[in-house]
Amino acid sequence: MKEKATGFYFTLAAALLSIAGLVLYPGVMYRLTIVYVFCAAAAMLTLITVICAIKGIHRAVFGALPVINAALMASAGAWAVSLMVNQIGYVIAELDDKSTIMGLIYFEIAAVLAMLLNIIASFMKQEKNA
Amino acid sequence: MKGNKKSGTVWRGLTSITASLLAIMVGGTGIVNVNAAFINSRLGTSNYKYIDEGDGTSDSTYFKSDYTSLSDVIDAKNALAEQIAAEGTVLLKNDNQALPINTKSEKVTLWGLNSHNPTLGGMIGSSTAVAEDGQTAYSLEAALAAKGFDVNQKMIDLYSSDAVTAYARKGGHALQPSFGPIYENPSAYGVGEAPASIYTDDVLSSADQTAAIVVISRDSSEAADYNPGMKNATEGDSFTTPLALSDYEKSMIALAKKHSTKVIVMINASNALEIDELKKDSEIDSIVWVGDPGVNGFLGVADVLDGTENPSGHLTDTYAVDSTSSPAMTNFGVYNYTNNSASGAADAMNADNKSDWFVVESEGIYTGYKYYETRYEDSVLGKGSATAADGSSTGSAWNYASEVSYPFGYGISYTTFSQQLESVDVKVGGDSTAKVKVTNTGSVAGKSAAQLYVQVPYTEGGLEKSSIQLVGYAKTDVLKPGESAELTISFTADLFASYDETAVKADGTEGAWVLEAGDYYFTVGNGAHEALNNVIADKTGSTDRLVSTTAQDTIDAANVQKWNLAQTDMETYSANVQNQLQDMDINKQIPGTVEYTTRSDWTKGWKTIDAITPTDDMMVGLNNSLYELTANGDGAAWGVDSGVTIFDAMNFDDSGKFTGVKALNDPIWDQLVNQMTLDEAIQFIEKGGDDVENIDSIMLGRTYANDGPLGFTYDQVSGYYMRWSKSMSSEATYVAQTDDKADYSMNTMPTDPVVAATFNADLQTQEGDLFAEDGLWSNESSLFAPGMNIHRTPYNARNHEYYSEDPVLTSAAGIAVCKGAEAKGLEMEPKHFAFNHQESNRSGVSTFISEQGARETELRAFQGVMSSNSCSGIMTAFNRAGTKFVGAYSNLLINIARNEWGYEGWYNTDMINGADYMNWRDITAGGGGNCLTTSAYDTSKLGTMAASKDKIAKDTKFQQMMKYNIKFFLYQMADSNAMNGTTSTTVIRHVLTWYQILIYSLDAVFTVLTVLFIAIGLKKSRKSSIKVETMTDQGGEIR
Repeated sequence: MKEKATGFYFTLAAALLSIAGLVLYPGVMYRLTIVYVFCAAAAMLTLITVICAIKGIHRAVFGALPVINAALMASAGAWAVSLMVNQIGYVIAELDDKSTIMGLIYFEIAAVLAMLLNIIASFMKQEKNA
Repeated sequence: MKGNKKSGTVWRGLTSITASLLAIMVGGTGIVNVNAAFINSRLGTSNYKYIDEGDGTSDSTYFKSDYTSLSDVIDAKNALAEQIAAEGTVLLKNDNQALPINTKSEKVTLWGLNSHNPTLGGMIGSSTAVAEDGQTAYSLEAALAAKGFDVNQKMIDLYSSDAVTAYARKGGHALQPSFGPIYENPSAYGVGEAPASIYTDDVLSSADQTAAIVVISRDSSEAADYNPGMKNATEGDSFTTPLALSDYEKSMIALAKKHSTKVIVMINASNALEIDELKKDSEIDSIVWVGDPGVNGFLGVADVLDGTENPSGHLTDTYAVDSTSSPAMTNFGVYNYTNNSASGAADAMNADNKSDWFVVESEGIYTGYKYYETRYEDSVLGKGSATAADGSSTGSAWNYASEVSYPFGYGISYTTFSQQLESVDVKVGGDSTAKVKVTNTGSVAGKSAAQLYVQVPYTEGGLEKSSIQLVGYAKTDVLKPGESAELTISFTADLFASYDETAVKADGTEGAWVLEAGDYYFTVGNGAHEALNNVIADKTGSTDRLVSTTAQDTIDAANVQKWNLAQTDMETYSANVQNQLQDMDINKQIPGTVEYTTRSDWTKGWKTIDAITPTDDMMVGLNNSLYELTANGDGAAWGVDSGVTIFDAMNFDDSGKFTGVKALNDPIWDQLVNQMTLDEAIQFIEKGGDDVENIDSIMLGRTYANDGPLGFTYDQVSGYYMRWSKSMSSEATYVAQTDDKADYSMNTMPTDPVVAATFNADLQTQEGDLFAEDGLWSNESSLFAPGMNIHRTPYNARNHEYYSEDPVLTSAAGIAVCKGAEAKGLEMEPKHFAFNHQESNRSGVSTFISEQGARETELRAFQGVMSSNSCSGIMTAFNRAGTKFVGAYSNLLINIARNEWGYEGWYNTDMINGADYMNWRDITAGGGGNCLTTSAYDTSKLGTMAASKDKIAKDTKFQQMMKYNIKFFLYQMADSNAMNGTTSTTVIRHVLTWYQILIYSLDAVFTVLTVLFIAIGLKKSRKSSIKVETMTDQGGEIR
């Protein structure tokens, strides 16, 4: 792990946020299974890559990892909104309490941050010697 | 080397950005497309256009406007709204001839902070927003100024100042609507009045020689209720109930009395307030009710105040001394089942597993005046323990004078009228008439409304009967002093038949409309109370012990016409009738739960039913599973091309003029339905929305529908041009966005109680006619209006969308409005069928009521407009009937409405706000129509209808119900303005809107960029690898 560059730690932080998304998503009023899949995939890919790195199996996927994860978390954020459109409308029209969309807001914060960290990571090296 | 590596990360970063944006765009594209109908309605865009492949010479305007410009339509609407508000204004008290005000010699001061912030309408469905540019929503101040009143500016300045803003209601509203569930009654309401301390000596002295117009206001809203237990949210103010005068209002009135030449109190509310102290206060000269008059209404009110118009309106509700004193208030509010957990009673209720709500309408038939007046007669005649303290608002012996301030139907004028009931001709099973001679006996010209009432024979302990009922009304034109007119009031005897759940008819079925043998007393009166006094005086030959509500009341036993029915009739009005609503009676579900109000013993019916544990049978409804999809039958035919279009269902005379549509039993309707694809049928049912999607297979284009009772709501339609696409610009009523009135609001009429208070069917019909004009000029084919639920209590904050506490007045007004609209091709959809009596937890509240109570009050209000097919559609309510969602309740939708009444219109639900209980499966199986939603079913346990297509395709019975329900929609749609612009050679072409082209373009751009960046990145990476390999071969070193 010593040879890991700053980008890798950004990717790792983004993966943690993906896991946070997994934890937060059940708090969203209306949920889609595919969103769990996106978040879990992002976290799992990172985990597998880290394991591979530790075992020195292969490093080629390191470069693609933040790109894929960014897209996965962007998808998660977009799809999470799809079922909540009506509810957001109710809250904007002051017909329902803001608390009903707070779960979505927390999730979106995690998803967007994960996406941004992945994008930043993708501009960086994942390994010092890469 | 380093450069290449850096370059590689840059391309990777760019790939990451575009890939992420692509992912967002793909998700966003789905969201946009799912909600395209909604977006189109906001942007004025369309996903289809009509193309006439013929020679274009045929006249395809089947419903024509009477106006040549939009401007003329708007002017006509404004004028009518003003007239309705004037005739709907009710003068309750006018001592010392305080009204009318002489605007040449008198100056007025508007008192009360709510004079500056009056309520014009409701919130959400009946909001009163208008276009910012060019359109005016007349406040009281603006209306008086426009009508030339000299108004005390210092008071207006005070109410406009920052010092008092904190007390004010924002935009005339303080109610807080909510679409979510609530488990406690709403707890606070801000009256919006300011303390007496705001009035400086300078301001007070400015009012000294002026006439005071004191405004007492309570606002209105969909999705909100008042509650007697509310506290006043205005800082420092308090009240006993939100419908009683608050302390700040009382102190303000005290100042107005001290600093004015006369005091006129204006009631700006749709909910009957407690104003007995104002009625009895000799220093209050006049009281005038104006309701929520809409954006033009205060102009009409001003006409009444200055005498340009002579008031001729009458109350549509009883004004009780104590707003909580009716038996209906015994069970109003939020009550939860003790346990209706789907997993069983053993599963305890907790914060995450809360129970649903119910309300028991224990008052039976005794709603509004039918309670107060019936108990009054019994108290006079010493029957039924009517004078017991039970239900008394004073806590001592019940007496009418302490219970009612102004009765239903009351209203006075600047002149006086005599009304003589000259004859009554009753034809059971036919059309009955009454003739009334009306004479202006005063000195001012004016109109007079004659109200015909009846008392039906009652046997103590027998079938429950109201002692007095409205059966019809008519209004004169303007009568000059001394002038007379003869009015003919038409009615049918079924309006005063009683529903007997225990009657067994000749065919052996149980339940019948009954006219019992005996004397029927017909009379006219200025309200229900005066009419009842006439009847009692005639029956008893005495006026002893009779109570008059005001000095203007007269008691005239001679003004009664008696009609005798020799034998009880339970057959004439009972064709196809039998008990259907027994499961709405909680006593039939759980015996002994409720003690209904009964005139045989007025001490009964005052027990609150605050806890019910549902039985297994009740849980069937509460579990939202009234029907299960199964594989049955031989399948249903879809997509059977008969070569017909909906145009073929229209009839034309020899000259090519549209003459109506083919009869409902004509084979073409089945051909049309069978020609639809299953996908189209599913789309129609689950994507009803405010708009109904195209049905291409039969050439029915997208049709548009919207709220509400004041006209098409501005927040949903936002102007006349929104539903037009340029491809329709050849239509005579096309409105381009560039039209200077294109974005004008259409919801400019007064609220429904004001419309009903006119007691003027002509004005009501004209309102319908102008709604239809708006339909033509805005390309809308259906209006969710009028509201026809009963004012069960004064505490429903949505009473402003419904006419009255009386079903006959509601029915007559609704019929008049609908006929006016339908004649010009606008499909009216009265709402909310049925039993929508409170807004708190309206989504799914279980309403329990006796079948007699249900049929004689709420359903009688709807029956007339549906049985006469004066409306094309009906919007169902949010609540449950008993424990079953009312929009899926076949006993009501099919057995009563279609089989008993002969209703031929369609149903659609209210907005799907509870996709599990308002599910498409139960709605379809129960005889409902389409579901007012765009995507709510995505989140339901059942899922979308489209996702269940395979299961549906195996259920023949279910598909037959789909066809049955859709047929009514097609039948009505072919006879509406939706057909304007359609000919036998019209075809529908789908097009993309500009925003869809934009997002698809962005999708493409991000896809290309992502692929490009990946390719470049890979290429750079490959080059880098080759160089590394080369350098390694040459003995180089990697750093």
